[in-house]
Amino acid sequence: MKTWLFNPFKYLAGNKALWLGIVAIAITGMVCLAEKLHMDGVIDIHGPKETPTYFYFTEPVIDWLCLVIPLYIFGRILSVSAIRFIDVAGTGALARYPMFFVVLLTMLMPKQIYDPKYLMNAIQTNPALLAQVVMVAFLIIPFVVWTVALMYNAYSISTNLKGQKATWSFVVSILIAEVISKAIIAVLIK
Amino acid sequence: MPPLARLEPDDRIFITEFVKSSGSLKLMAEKMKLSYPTVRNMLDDIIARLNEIEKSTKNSPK
Repeated sequence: MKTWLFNPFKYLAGNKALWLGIVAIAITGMVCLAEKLHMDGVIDIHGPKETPTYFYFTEPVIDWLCLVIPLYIFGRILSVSAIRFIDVAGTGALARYPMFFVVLLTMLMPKQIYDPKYLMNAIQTNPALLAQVVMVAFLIIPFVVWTVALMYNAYSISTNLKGQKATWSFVVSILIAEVISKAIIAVLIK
Repeated sequence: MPPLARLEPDDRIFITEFVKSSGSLKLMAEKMKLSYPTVRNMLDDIIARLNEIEKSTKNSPK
């Protein structure tokens, strides 16, 4: 059970993982579309913004590719194994499925949170809003940790990297992906 | 003792199955119900252990 939750890549990789991951990304995109939420970063979700429909599906694909490409490059440089792009890409896509739950939980956030100026006033008049924000944030954290753990295990299995080498290259890849994905999405939104 | 004989029993079973699968990792993955990279990693780890055994044999005084 624990393996299936945190390391399904022991059993699933390549094309199978890729298709399952694409389905999960598409379903998450549909929920984002319904709630006008944006996945504008590798593990980011932000509030309502009117954009064309295709944006809700393009953003998670950009997030996924922005992470998968540096991970594959690091894998090729650091691993002695003959790694395959389809494994890094497939497991990387499947690793994003807990983001579906993050999106669902984000829907519980008070809508005022999306306008910081208005939020401060709203909290002053209704302090229960702050409690709601904190509670939902605490609920979201385990799912974000789960996503990152899956992303790391996907990388470790598909590149056969372990220990310090795997950890630092994964952290650097996440940082690169976060910056690049945000930049690409910001340019596209303009 | 030859390096292969100095491997752990599980590693020797893996190598036997690998040879019987004509060296196909894809077939091994299907047989073991594991993903392709998991099986490839198992093989690569055995290769690393074999290299270590060979290295230690070369370095040990005769």
